Amino acid sequence: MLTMPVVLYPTLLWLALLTLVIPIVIHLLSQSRARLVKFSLVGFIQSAAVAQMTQLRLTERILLALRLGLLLLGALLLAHLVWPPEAVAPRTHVLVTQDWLAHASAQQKKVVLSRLDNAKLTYLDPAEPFGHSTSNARQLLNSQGWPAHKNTGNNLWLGLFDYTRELGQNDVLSVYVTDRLQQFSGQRLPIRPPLDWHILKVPLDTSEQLTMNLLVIYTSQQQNSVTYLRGAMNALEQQNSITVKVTYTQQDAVSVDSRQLNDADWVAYLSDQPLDDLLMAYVQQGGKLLITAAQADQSGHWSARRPDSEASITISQLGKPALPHNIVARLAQNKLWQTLDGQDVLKQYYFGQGQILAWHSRFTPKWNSLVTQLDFPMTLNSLLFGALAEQANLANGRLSPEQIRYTEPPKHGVSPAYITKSQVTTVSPSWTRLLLVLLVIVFCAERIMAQRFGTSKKQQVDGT
Amino acid sequence: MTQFIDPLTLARVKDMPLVAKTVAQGVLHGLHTSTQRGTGVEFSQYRAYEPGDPLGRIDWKLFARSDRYFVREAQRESNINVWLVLDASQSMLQISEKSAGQGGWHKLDYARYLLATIGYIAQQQGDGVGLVGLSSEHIDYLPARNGQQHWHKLLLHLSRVQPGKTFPKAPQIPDHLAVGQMSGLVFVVSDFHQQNNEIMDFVSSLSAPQTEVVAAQLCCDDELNFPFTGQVRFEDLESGQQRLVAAKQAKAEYLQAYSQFQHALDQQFQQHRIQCIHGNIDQPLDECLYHYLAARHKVGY
Repeated sequence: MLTMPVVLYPTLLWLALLTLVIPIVIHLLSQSRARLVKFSLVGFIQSAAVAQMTQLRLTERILLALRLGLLLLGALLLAHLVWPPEAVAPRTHVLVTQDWLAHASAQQKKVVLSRLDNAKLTYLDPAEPFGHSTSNARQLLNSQGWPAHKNTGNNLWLGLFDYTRELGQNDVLSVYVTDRLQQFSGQRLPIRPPLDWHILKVPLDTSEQLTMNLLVIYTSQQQNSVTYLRGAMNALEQQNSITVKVTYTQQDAVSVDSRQLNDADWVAYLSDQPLDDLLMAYVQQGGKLLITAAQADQSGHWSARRPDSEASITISQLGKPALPHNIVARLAQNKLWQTLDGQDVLKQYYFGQGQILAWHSRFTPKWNSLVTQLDFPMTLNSLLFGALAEQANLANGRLSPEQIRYTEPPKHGVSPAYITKSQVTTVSPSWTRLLLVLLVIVFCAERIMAQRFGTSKKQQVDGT
Repeated sequence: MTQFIDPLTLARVKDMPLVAKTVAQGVLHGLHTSTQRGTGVEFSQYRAYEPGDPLGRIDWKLFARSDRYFVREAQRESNINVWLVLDASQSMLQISEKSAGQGGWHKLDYARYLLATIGYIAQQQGDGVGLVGLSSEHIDYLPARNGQQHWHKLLLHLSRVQPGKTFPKAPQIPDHLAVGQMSGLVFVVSDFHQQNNEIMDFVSSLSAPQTEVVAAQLCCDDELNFPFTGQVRFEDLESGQQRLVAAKQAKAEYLQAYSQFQHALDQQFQQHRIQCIHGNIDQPLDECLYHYLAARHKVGY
């Protein structure tokens, strides 16, 4: 598309253009204006003299034109003539998210479809943070059964930011999103306004009450620990936010079957028996296991600081959980709690897709002071169900339209006009160079013409 | 030598009869203005016999009554008509730049005064005077009569002649101006700037055994000397054609072309036995007339 050149300093241009009057005035004044003489014998005046005169006239006009061109080019150089970066006609971009597709009604989709006559539909892919793809709009909008967005930690801002970077100045961006919090996790990026937000409010799903299944496997020797654990779980059940279903299985009496394991979110293994292969396989497939010390290895008086709170616990006995050493040694581990002299109290292993929380103690006051502390149920809750609860919160969290629409004011106080001007200036050197070359060419041509048809010839013709 | 009157001075006198009389009297200085007498039908007067008068002209009846010899005289009768032909084409508006600045005459004005003066002289001599003004737009025709009143009518016509565009072409000229219709003396005033020799054709066609044609060619200083300098845009008076030239460069060639034109014109006049007088509108009017009349006396009119 051909765009008109732009002058950055129009007032300067007008002032400079005023100088164009000078050569014209000089031309009009200096030219010994031909007198008009009415004569009856024009036929006797030879055409040779006429031709010579015509040539002189032509030369004078060419010279005048060259001088005008010289001044004009100078004026344009002064005024910074530039071609603006190609101005793209404003386009409308329609962006939809998977979540919106999943929740929008057919009517709403039809509205979007009607807007697509001269707009581009882009599907913001929730799988990757920067993902967006343009696909067949009709097919995209007409296809049924979009799954609601499940993944957490998806940052829609990133995708939008990435998309808007490629847009022209005047493009209009319509974004169709839902107000679910899980799409907006992460840092908020400054997205070029204005965005035309179409926010679909997804009602809170109240039917989905968060339920946690905890399977406790214990041996009779650890009946004491189970008592404390039961007490803590009962205390948790008083709270409305989370429902914990606890199943107690005495290892000695009943063997654990895999169906029970699959239902469980967590397995608490309170036993001095070594961990059997079934449980290891459960962990490897994504299960979560809490295991306590098999037997007391050391006794003494340690103080361990809990990273999640100011309180510290005293530990009187420490013991290693009965984990298979050959496997555990190779696992990635995370030391959660340690005593002040560096002994492990709580360790986290990642095994396969699951994890193991290894508690180098037991849930009895004989081993440590944790169970006697008032926040023991909450500590257990955050250790075991914290991540799950957070996930549930994200899924049910809603952002208000104001929160989504909020745009940060520009940080550096730079006006957009200035930005465009500086951008334009960076484009200009090529034009400046071209104008300069033209200026030099015109100047040379003017000099050559002026020399060739010098003043002597003019005087000769004028005869003055 | 006679003191001629500067044409610019005459140009300031707007009274045409006065100018004509002044010029004519200057030229005819010392000539009797009384009517010429001689033999004829119309009685004029008796005068005393003087030796040498033919005896046949003595009025014997009167001698019988008065016993003195008287000769009977009659008014001189003239059958000569003087025709004044004026070229009223656009090119006759040519005027020198110098005199233009001082309100001088252009060729047409000069021709009017010249013809008025000739008309006056002819009227004084008792000749009939007629006028023909010729231009492509309009043709003025005043038949030849004599008498003071007619002369005034002639002056009125002369002053009313409007310049047309060009000299009329042969088919446009009415029959009563054609060959042989105008007997006597035909006085043609023109610049003889013609496109297809139309003026010369007309003038030569007038020439006949009973008709004497005198052509007065008017020119001006600008045409003769080409005094222009610098860039000049010349516009042709008749065709409107323009030529922009450096005057100095064009001068030599112009003068050559002009002299060629003049030479060819003179040859044509000679060929058709037409007497030609050259009048320069920047020179005194009476000088031109004087030279003409002096030349005519030499040839014995």
